[in-house]
Amino acid sequence: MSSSNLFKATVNEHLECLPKPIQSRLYEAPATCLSIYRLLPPLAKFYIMSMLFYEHPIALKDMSKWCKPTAKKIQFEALKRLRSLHLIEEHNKGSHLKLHQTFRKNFRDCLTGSQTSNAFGNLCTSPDKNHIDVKFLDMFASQKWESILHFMVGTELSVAPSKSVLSLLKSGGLMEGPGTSASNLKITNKGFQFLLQDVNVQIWTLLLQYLSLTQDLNMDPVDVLNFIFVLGCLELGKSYTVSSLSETQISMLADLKDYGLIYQNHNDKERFYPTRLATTLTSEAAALRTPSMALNQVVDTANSEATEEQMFSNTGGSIILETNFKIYAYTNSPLEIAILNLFVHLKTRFPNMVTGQITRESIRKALFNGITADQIIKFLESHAHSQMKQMAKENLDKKIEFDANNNINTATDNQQLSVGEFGSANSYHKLEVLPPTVVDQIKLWQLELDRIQTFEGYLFKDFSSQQEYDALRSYASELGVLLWSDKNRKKFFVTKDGMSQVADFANKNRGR
Amino acid sequence: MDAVSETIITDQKPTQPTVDDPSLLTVILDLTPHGWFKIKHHITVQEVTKALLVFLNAHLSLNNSNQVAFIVCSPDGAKFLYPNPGKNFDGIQDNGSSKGETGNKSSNPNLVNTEMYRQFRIVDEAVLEELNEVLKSLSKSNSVNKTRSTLSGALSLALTYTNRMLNLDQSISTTTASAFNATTKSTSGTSNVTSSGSSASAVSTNYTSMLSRILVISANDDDDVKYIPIMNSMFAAQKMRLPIDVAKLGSISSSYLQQASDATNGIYLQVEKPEGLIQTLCTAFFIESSIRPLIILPSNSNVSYRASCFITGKSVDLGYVCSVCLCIMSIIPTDAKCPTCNSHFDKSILNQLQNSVVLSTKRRKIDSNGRDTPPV
Repeated sequence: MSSSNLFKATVNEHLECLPKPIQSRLYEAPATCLSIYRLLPPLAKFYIMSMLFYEHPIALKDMSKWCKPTAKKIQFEALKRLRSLHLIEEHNKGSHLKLHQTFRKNFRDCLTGSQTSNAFGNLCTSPDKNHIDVKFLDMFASQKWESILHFMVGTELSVAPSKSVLSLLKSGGLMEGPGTSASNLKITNKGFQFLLQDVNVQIWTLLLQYLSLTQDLNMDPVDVLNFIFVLGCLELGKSYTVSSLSETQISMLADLKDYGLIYQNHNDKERFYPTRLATTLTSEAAALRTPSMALNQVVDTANSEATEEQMFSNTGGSIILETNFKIYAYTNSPLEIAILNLFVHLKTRFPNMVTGQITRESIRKALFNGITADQIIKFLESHAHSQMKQMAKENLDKKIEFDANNNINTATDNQQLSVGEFGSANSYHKLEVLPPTVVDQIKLWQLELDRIQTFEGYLFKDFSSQQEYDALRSYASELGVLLWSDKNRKKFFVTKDGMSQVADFANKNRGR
Repeated sequence: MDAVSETIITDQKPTQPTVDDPSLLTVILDLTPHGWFKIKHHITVQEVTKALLVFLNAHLSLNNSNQVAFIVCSPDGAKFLYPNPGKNFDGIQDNGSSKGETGNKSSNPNLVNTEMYRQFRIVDEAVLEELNEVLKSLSKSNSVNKTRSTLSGALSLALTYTNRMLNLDQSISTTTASAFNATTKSTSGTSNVTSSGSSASAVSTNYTSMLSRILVISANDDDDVKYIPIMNSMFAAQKMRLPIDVAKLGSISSSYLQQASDATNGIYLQVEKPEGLIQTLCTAFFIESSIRPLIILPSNSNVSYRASCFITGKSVDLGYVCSVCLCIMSIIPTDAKCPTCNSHFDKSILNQLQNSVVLSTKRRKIDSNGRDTPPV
């Protein structure tokens, strides 16, 4: 599971848990509609788009016919997601589906460009006296954000993050200690996990924490969320007027400035600039790397000692991982070394690099601290040295070419291939930045610890006939909710989510 | 014991098999006037453009890093409307009065709502503005080659652009136009140290997997398009695993476009009643590459695999094939030479073929799949 899914999961979970009236109010803002749409799984996006310009409700029966039988599980998940966001509503006693009216109208307006003004922020028309360019914004954002991260690992800083940041870190369980004074706080295991994430996941974690805080302060969650989503739609390097914002949103500005999401000049409170951290809030994995990479670049240029060579190596990460589990990191940043120390047995330290070894003990130590294998792999992948990426790319090209030469040359083969494996081609040719042996071994070490898994769910038993059992069991397995089945004793077990669906099916069958 | 062996434990993982990678959509609009004239009672270019713009916006709304390209092909040639390296589209985002606005812009000031989401607006304004110019020049141009189709050229443009985007680092510049500008700048020769450094890193850090597809919208009914170039680009697309979707407006289906979409696993739909084009676009043509394996695609019931004659350019049901280079002919060449590879055909066999042509065609149709091989 990639970390982009992870961050989507956290945001989505939050959105899904909101009560329906709040969700409905959220959909009144076109920017929010667009952002929420972007967070949906691909199939759900397709469903929404196909219903957007169709005036009548769509029969559930027809909808299920669009998908191949093998994709039933994915379809089930997509519909579940849409239902929990209340984006689709039942019509005609559940036989038909239609889109949420407000969402439909606003999203449509958004696509056709006929939405109300001010939906995507008001550009400041008067020129700014202080010239502010993208580079400056990147500097500002990286400085703010890195200082938070550095503070967490205990680097000596000239300026500690502001009070609001500290209280946020504490209430989020990322740091702990008596009082809120900066010197007393210590990083927790959860905090270390937090450090391993991508920048976007980190921001969202803090923002969601912020959201729960604002609810205590009697701020309107809809206003807050809307503003966060609007920020994601703004344009980098442009200034926006404060005057069009609501009172709640204006009070948020100061906090957002502390996180480095926006920039505001001390003297000029009438305008604000979104930084790269803000404009990529709702972006995908590919764009997700942009902030961190751009930030690295800026940090390097700011660092006067940084030589040209270092700059080049740092733009794409700094870690080299070998098949013999040895790891070399060309870095002198205490932050990166502290993170590496979580799961690597570090051995030597040089002025510009550290070396270490990944061992079973070092990984187990990390796992016991609640860090998952996926997080470690993801971290190594996103911080891999550009040479590792280049090598992986070359290998992949060779592989593709080899496959192409063996399959595509003959016309008949190609026909079958293009029909049967077209879609899965992508998964065949995966870029392997890290040595697969190491990746597998880290996963195996995690599996060592997870010998027992627990599931919440429901047991189906006492079937009157084998047919009834078979029908229901195969239905459950098609949906992908079946966990365990025993043919002889005619019992099976489904997950909690799938229960209602399977029970519905059972009742319908019995009625027949 | 047997109870244990019968027990099945399903591996329950919250896997997400469909990754949400950014994707590039290249739209090719065939503006050949002849075809549009035929369907003028159903739909106009204007209405199609409206639908297409909404479709482009919809594609952009899927993902922040999604990209689009828009190509028109008219008898005057194929042309990129978006992205267009010659124009700076970042200038468009300011409204009417500010800098970077030229005369042609002020002639139609409010093409699209200025309050629109920026990503959409840049694309929409660029496409509309350029399309206007193309249509203007099209109405002025002489009527000598009004039926010439340049679809093959547009297809190759789309393929080269796609290839470029797939091999270009997406992480450095997110908007297509700026990426385009950046590469043209760095390849223009006078690159200094910094720009060469950035282009080097652009090559080395490319590891984003981008999906891409091409959508062709054509109302052109003539089968007299350049068969060989279209086939070549089709095979190139096949190799790049790039689906070509085709929306054919009008009542006659185009066999070459059908073949192109069939071979690349794209979607071919003949839209006989194009009035509700937006709904068709948003359902049948909105199936992203990432969800293609999940969805039952609108199928091509009967694809006509007819090839085109190398001499006349007409499509053939039954013809002659050169046994050396497999060149297809509907008539026996007068000079008894293959038009492609110049092999000499055997006189006596040609005579035999010419004499018995009526009789033999019927029989051969059954024997050898309608192909006839004159020995050299």
